[in-house]
Amino acid sequence: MSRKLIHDTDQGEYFVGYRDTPKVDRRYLLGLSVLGLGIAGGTGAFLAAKQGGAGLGRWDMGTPVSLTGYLSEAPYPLLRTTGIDGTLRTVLLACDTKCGAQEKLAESRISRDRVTVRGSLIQRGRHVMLAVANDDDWIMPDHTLPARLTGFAEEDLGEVTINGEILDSKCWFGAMRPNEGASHKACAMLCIAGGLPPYFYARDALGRSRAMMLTDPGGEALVQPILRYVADPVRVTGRVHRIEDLLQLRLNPDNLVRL
Amino acid sequence: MRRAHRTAHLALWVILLPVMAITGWAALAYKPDPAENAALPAALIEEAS
Amino acid sequence: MAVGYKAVIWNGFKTSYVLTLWAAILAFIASFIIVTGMTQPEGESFHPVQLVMRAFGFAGFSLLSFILIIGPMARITPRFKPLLYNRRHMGVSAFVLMLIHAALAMVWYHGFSDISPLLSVLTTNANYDRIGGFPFESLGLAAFLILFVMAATSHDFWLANLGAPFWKALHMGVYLAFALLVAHILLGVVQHEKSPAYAFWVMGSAALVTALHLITGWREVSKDRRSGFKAEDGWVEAGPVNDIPNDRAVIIPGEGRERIAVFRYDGQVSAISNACKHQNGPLGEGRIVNGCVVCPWHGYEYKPRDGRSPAPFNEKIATYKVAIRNGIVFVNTKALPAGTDVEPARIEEAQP
Repeated sequence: MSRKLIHDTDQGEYFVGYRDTPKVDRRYLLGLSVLGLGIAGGTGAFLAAKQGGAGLGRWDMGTPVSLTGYLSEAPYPLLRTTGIDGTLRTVLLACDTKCGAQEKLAESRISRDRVTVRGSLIQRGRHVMLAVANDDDWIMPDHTLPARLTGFAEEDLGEVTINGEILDSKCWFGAMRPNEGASHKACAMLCIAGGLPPYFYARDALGRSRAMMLTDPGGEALVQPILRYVADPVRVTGRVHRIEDLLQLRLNPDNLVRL
Repeated sequence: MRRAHRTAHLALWVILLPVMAITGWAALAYKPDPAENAALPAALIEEAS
Repeated sequence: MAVGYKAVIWNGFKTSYVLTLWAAILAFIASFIIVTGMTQPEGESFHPVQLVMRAFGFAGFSLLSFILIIGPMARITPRFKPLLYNRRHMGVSAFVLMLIHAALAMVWYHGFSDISPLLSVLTTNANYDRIGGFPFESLGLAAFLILFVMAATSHDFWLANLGAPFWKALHMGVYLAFALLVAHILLGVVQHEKSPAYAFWVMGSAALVTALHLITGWREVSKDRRSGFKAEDGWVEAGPVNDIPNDRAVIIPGEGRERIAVFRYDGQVSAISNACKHQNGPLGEGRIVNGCVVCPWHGYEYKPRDGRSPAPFNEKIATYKVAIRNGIVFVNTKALPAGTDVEPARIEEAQP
């Protein structure tokens, strides 16, 4: 039998929580407190510094904006306007939460072609979305704009096979940061199921990137078949179409492969 | 502390250790590759905007 | 110590303990938020909601890891005992951090849609059969529910009404919650972020917590194996009386799953159960102060002769018959009913 059986071998004073703390424990606890504060602050700083970029993009929620232009409802509600920078630009329309503007459009019974819409801008580079105001007169007919007699310039840029990630446009444009990967997957699925346009985001080793609206081969909305691939690395084959400044990746969902 | 308690504690950790280790291995081994391309298709690059 | 259930008795020690704890939490969160702002690439920044969500999640898991090393550390060095005392304040604080993290994630990622957030967490992402893109949120939710039950029953009211063994078993759920959180982090942020720092942090924490528990647990198992040689009629040898320091104990295995604390004090030896009535604290690692055995965990007191707490308290624990032959202590491992008065064995004058 040895002294190893005795668990507590210090000969100092004995700590009992409801009595005065012994001097040896007080000194020790003071040191431990300083160390603990240092470790806590250090760990927080370390974990913060190792994070990747949260992504570009902004949602200027506090700044109401009115845009006049030509409304298009398919495949997703959007407005073609010169109100952003003087050139004809595509502005996607969304509700103020996780849904597209489809329902709000269905509720309003106005003449649809030339309108003024009101809301706040979500912008990432040249990608622009308007989260429309949550009231009844968010959209008004506007016939100050000349009627459009010709269609919009559309071009088939050919077939591509490309790696990338399916994202929801609203979050990626700037509603959420970070806006890619695992932590965002369920949220992006809710958004796309809610009618927000899905986007395909691809980048290459040279640091170039492209984001394109995702549609079916006929250029119509594509939702259910792609939902379970959202936010996963995938390879797709489809045709790229350009309509004015909007790129569309027209995809047969059978040509979707998870990497 | 009762022996039963200590045994239960020890047993729980003996089970949890491999569970956590395997999860860690799986999380790193199956970490999704960033879906990068060697180069974007020409059709997309010409559309640089 | 349990005459009725007092809310929380505050003294100087407890006040500085809680203030230090909160200062450390604040230091973690503040440095996380400030350093994130300083280190993001040009033009990129976290959404404030997502930044706070991350800060609280990281802080919660870090604090829980620290809580889980206090127990084994207190068995390695008595200097950790003050941290053990009032540990539940840390536990409840860790729960609050995780509650904020979970609430923000629920509202931000799973709210603002037609589906209820809870349903969305469990069903929106149904990739339960894959590692990449696994719905790691449900692992966090499971851990959260376990910790919720524990935080809700952390008061001594529940300890007394559920009974110490059940309460302790319930609170062992924290280990399960810890493992679930490790998986939640591994399949979430570790898979999402490029830097290996997060894998090091979470696996390092898990390794430290596990190793300390295994080491201290194994130490006790081997101690039990080395001690307590069987003698006749339930009597076992507890070693030379001179190996027991004054006002201290040795711990020997008892019958079945019990352990016995053998105390030396005032020129005599008494044996009582090693398990404190309060939370099964190791009485044999305590000391005798003012004639009473004081539990090292929360200071519950027992008289060594009869295992009863001094008036006005009414806890009582099992006692054991003891004898000394030729300077060797023998203990009868048959437990006497809790509170039975046993004549202590006198240490003969020849034994210094």
